[in-house]
Parts: sequence; structure tokens; C-alpha cells
Amino acid sequence: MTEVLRLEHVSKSFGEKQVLRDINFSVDSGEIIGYIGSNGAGKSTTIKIILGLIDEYDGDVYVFGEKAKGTIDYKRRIGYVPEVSDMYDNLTAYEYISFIGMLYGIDSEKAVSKAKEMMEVFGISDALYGRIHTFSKGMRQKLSIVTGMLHNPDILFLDEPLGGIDANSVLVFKEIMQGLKTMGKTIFYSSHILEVVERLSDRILLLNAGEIVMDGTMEDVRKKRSDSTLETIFNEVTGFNDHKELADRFIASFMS
Amino acid sequence: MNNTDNFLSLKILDKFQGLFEKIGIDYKVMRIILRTKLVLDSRSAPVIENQKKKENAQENTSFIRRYLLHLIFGALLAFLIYFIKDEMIRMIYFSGAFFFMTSMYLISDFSYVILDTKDKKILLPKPIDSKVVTMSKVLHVLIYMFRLNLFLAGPSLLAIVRLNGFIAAPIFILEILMMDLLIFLVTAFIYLLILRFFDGELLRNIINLIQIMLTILVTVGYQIAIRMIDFTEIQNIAYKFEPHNYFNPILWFGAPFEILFNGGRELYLYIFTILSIVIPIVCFIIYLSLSKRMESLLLKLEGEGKERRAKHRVEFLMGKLFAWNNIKRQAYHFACAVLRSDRSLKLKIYPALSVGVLFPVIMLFNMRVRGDNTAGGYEYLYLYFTFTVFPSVLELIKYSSAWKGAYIYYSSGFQNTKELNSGLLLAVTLRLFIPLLLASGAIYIFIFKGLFINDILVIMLASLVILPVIYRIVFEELPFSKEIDASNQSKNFGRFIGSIAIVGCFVAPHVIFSKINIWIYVGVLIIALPVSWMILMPNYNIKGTK
Repeated sequence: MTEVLRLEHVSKSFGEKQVLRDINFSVDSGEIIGYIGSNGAGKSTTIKIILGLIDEYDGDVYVFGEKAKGTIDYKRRIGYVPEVSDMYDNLTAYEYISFIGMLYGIDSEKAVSKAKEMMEVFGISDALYGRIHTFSKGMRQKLSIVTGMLHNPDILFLDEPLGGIDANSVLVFKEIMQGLKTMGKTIFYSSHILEVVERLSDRILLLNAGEIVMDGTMEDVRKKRSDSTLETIFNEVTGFNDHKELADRFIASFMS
Repeated sequence: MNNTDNFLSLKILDKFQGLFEKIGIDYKVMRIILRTKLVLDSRSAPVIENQKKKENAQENTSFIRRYLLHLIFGALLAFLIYFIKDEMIRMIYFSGAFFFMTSMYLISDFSYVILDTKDKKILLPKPIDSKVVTMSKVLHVLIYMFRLNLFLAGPSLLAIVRLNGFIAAPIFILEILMMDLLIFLVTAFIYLLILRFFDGELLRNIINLIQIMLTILVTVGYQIAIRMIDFTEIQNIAYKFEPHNYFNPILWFGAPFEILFNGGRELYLYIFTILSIVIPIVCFIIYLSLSKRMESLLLKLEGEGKERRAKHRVEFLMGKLFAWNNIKRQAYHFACAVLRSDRSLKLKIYPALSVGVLFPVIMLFNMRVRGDNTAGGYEYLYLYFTFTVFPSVLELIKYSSAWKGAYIYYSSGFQNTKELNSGLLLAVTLRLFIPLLLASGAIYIFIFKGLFINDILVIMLASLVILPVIYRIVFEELPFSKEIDASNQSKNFGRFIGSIAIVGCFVAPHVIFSKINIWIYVGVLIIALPVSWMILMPNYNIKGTK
């Protein structure tokens, strides 16, 4: 086990609004991290900072033992599946894949044959020559997963990767995650679907209002709290306990 | 919706409320749907004129501005027909121009209404009769066409009344209605046909092509059109009947005027008149019976549609020939693919490119008009004006409608921008600039025969040498990484002038060497070519942030 990622005192504000406050954690190779938090808690911002999409922040990020800010090389070894799959969607999948290949220094044929194989697993290889903007949400997402993993990265950042994906493919995807873990790949998994996070992750990082409020393995977390599911822990830690009243209010106005 | 009722068209429609209710249409619901559609229209500018818009989306003032071009065109048309003496010829000119402009505008601006499937998805789950939805769609298109009519044909109506008296007005208006109907139906039939045999992608491509052509026509094409019309001649020509004219709707509409105002008694005039009324109505009946079929074909627009897998052989071959390393070749193919498929980008690029052909041609036209018919020996220099489009087109390459996809440059850590840029420039050169230069060159060879062949060759070579330099000056962003709608605000005039100045530097040696020995200059350019492409290619670091 070697450390592949470490954040030290990372803070970030957009104007007046502080999005991240003094974030500290480190991740070893072969770990699957479940990175959770409410909407606007700062999850995507954290990922963007690590990826270098945002490079004005306080504190330090180390990837593979080296300071990430302003450097490029580490990016060849990380993969990213963004939450909203923005792509050059006028292109066909084929054209887009070979473009992505270029960015990672993989030649076209190899990139396409590799991606085609991966797409076949997800049952969308027929769409290789279709324009991406004609794809359904699930197909898009699958393509986004494929292109995010094309270059055999050592760390994967997955931001809500299962949106719109059918149940069978979700099953395959979970197996893939476990398999990659045994290959020593690190997975940084951010999602709102807590059941999946719970089942998949070795370790949970819970972010609330820009701060890490919980960090530990599922067992640790369970031991510390009396609650049994990640969902109830999530509610408790984020101080959310009036869901019943809110629901009642909604129903009351629904019936009126 | 606070500005409830400032749509004149709806107020007019209100007068016919009873009529709609008689045929079983819930007028109130239809009116709400229609009003919503009109509000949506007023918020989105039409394709051709979204140039200056955006800043002030004031709905009422923009109405006049939006139709200003139509009005100018309509006035020109009225001016033209006012001077034509023959009743038939006059209406032929009018209906020819009217058919052309109306159908182009209809296809370019209103295809999305005819082809819309979204409103069905939104409206049909609600408790609304589908008849109401269909009728609101037809009315929506018709309101658009009436607005168009008002500006395109309004001035001509005045001209006709001035020539033939008030009695001509109702006939003219009726004919306009028939033409509208015919145009709408023919457009719909063509869509139907394309969808029947091909897929939605092809139809979208065709619509995009029409939009590009219309933009070119409106921005620069009229320059040529005006110069081509010989005013002294058309005043006096007379119409001669041929049997095959029955098949040309443009010729039908002059007949009633010929009969009424010029005492025409020939049989074909009566047949024309009957055709001009019967055919649109028959088409309308056919359309109504086909509209169910149309709806089901429209679903094709949403399907993935098996892309006809084009091979792009030439593109592939060129990549093999000119891009010797992997990254450059991949960048080249990527750029080709975007240039081929990004419709909003194409809509900006091709009109900009067309200026390049037109510039030298207009110069030549002006020369002719002045009466210089002999080639003075320096006309080839006009070809350098073609180069003025290089900076403006290269500037556009940083935009894309899918610009958000550019995050991938940053997240991948890609750094080889030199190869990326040279692949990109190769794609732009091969796909856009070489065809442009060939077209201008062909026009020169057509006009001057073999006179300037050497010079054309030199100019082409020079353009290839200049391109990386201009590219370096104009381009400082990642390709296809900026929002396309922003492409109008950031015209960098300084850079533009700078690159024109560089072009100027190439004109002088051309003139000087053509006095001594042009082949020495060719040699110099051939040596400079690889140097320019290898050394001057922009090379910068991709910074972290977006």
C-alpha cells in the first residue's frame, strides 16, 4: 500500500462564499473511497481541484507523492468521469474516442479497438458510429465512463457515474470496480446513491458544508454510531432530521 | 406572463374565435398554446440575425429590427417590378423572388416548428385534444409567414396598386395566400420525402445547408445579384408562352393580371389562373390526409438513426500524406470531424469563408462596370483579398457548440499543443482554405483564361506560407473551447489588422519578382513553406484552469 493522494489544508472560496474549509485526508492505492455529501457540500469542487480544473486554492494537493498544483504529468495516470458528461457531442463516438486517444497519447486504432471492447461490455458498441448527441442519457454516461478509463489510469475519479444507467450494467460496473481494486487501482467515488456507496466503498469520506465531518471504514462508522445504514448516518451527521415534517408539509399542499 | 396581449396576430385571430369553435377546437386552450409559442419566438433570435442581438432582448423594438432585412429586400423587389411593363414578366420576377426568399426563410427559421416533436411530448400528456395541438402548429407557421409577407410583399403591393389601381390589391393578396400555402406544403412534402427515405440527420444537414446559403446570400450575395440585373433590358421584354410552362408555378401568377389589365384572351392564361388556385388547395387536402403519416415519420428525428457510416477517404488519405506523426494525425481527424459536424460552427464559418471568393470577384465586377475590359496585368493582385478571410475564419476555430467538452484538455494533462495546432491548421487548410483558393483561382482562369496561371500558383503557395503566421497571431486559445454564441463580441480588430499587414508584405515581392523572374520567388516560397509550418506553429502550455 502506497499513498497516492493527499490533501493538506485545502480551502477554496468563490468570492464571498467559502466552499471548502481546511480539507485533510490521504488515500492509499487499492482503496475505494466513497465521497459523499449533500448538494453544494463541495464534492465536485474537491475533485476539480485534484484534477487541476481549478488551480486557485489554498493548501496543497499531492498526487503520487508530488505536489499537483501547476504540474501536468500526474494527469496521465488519473481518469475522470464527470457528473455532467460534457462531450464534443456533434462527433460520432468513434471520432470522439480517437480524439481522447490523442490527448492521452494513444493511437487511434488502439483507442478505438479498446473502447469498442469496453462498449460491447455495456451493450452499446452498435452506437460507435452514431453521433453522440443522439444518444440516450444512459448511453452517453456509458461512453463517458469508457472514455474516462481508456488510458489505464491508476486513480479514477467518478462523479455520480451511474446516472441513467440500467440495472444490469450497474451490476457489471460494480464488479468492474471490485476487479480494478484488486489490480491496485484507486477509486474515488462520489455519489448520492448511498446504497451503492455503502456496498462498494472501503472507506467513507463525508463532506458537509465544505468540511470533512466523517472519515473512516464502514465498520468504524458503524461502531461509532448506533445507526446501521449509511443513509441514517448521513442524515444524522448532516443534521437533517425533519424529513418527516417536510414530507407532511408537501403532502398537505398536494392535497389542498 | 405579464406582457399578456401585445401580439397583434392573436388579436386578429380572436375575430375568428367562432369559426374555430365551430370546427370543434377549444379556442381558449389553443390561444394559450399559441401565445406561449409566440413569446418563445420573441426570445430567440432567428438564425440569420443573431449577430448583434443578445445584449438587448427588448421584445418589441427587436421586432422591427428582426424584419428590417426583409423590408429592405421587399422594397428592392417592389422597385424592380415597378419598372417592368409586361404584366406576365412582372409577376414572374415577383413570384420567383418571393418563392425563393420565403421558402429559404421558412426552412431556415421555421423548420424547427414544422419538425418539432417536443411540443407533443409536453402537451399531449396534458388533457388537450390533439387537434388543438396540430392546429396551433399550423397557425404558428402561418403567423410567421404572414409577418414575412407583410415585409417581403407589402412594398410590392403598393407598386402593383400604383400601376393597376385598387382593384389589383385583392387579387394580389389572394395570390400571396396561395403562394404561402404552396410554399408551406412543398416544404412539408420535401421533409416528408427525406424522412421517408433517409434519416433525421440528413434532414438536419440539409436545413443547415440552407441556413448557410441564406446567410451568405443575405450578407454578401445580393452584391452580385444587383450587379447581374440589367435594368435597361428587363423593362421591355415580353413573355412568350411554351407548353412546359404549365409545370412552373412561378409563371402562373401573372395570368390574372394579364387577363384583367392587358386584355389577354389566350387559353393558357385561364389555365394558369385555374392552376394557381386549384393546385395549392389540392395539395392542402393531400397534406391533411398525410399529416398522420408525417407525425409518425417525425419520430425518426428523435431516434439514434444508424449513421450512414461515411468513409471520408480523401480526408483519410490527406491525413496519411501530410500528418506524419500520430498526434498530428489524430488532431487533424478530430478537427475535420468537428468542422464537418458542428452545425452552428458551420453557420459561422462558411459565410465568413464566402467573403473570400466574393471580394476579388466584386473588385473585378467594379472594374468591368468602369469599362476596363482589357486585363491590365495586375488583376491577379485582387486575389490577395481572398486572404482577408484567413484571420476571421481562424478566429472562429476556437468556438464550438459543444465547447463544454473542452474540460478534457485540462483533465487529461495534454501538452503537445504544437502538434495539436498543426493538425488543426492542416484540417482547416485542406477542408476550407484550399477549396476557397481553388474556387477563386477557377474564377480567374474562367475570366482571364491562361493569363495569370503562374501568379495564381504563387498566390496559393504564399497563402500556405502565411497561414501559420496568421494562425499564430490570431489564435491563442484551445480549439473548440469557447461558447459559440460569444463569438460575435470578441472580434479582435488589432490582430486582424496585424495579419492583413503581413499579407501586404507578401504582395510586394510578388510584384517585384514578376518583373525579374517569378520562378525564383516560387523557389523561395517552397523553401519557406516547411520552415513556416514547423517553426512558426503556435506552441503554448495548457494552463490548469478553465
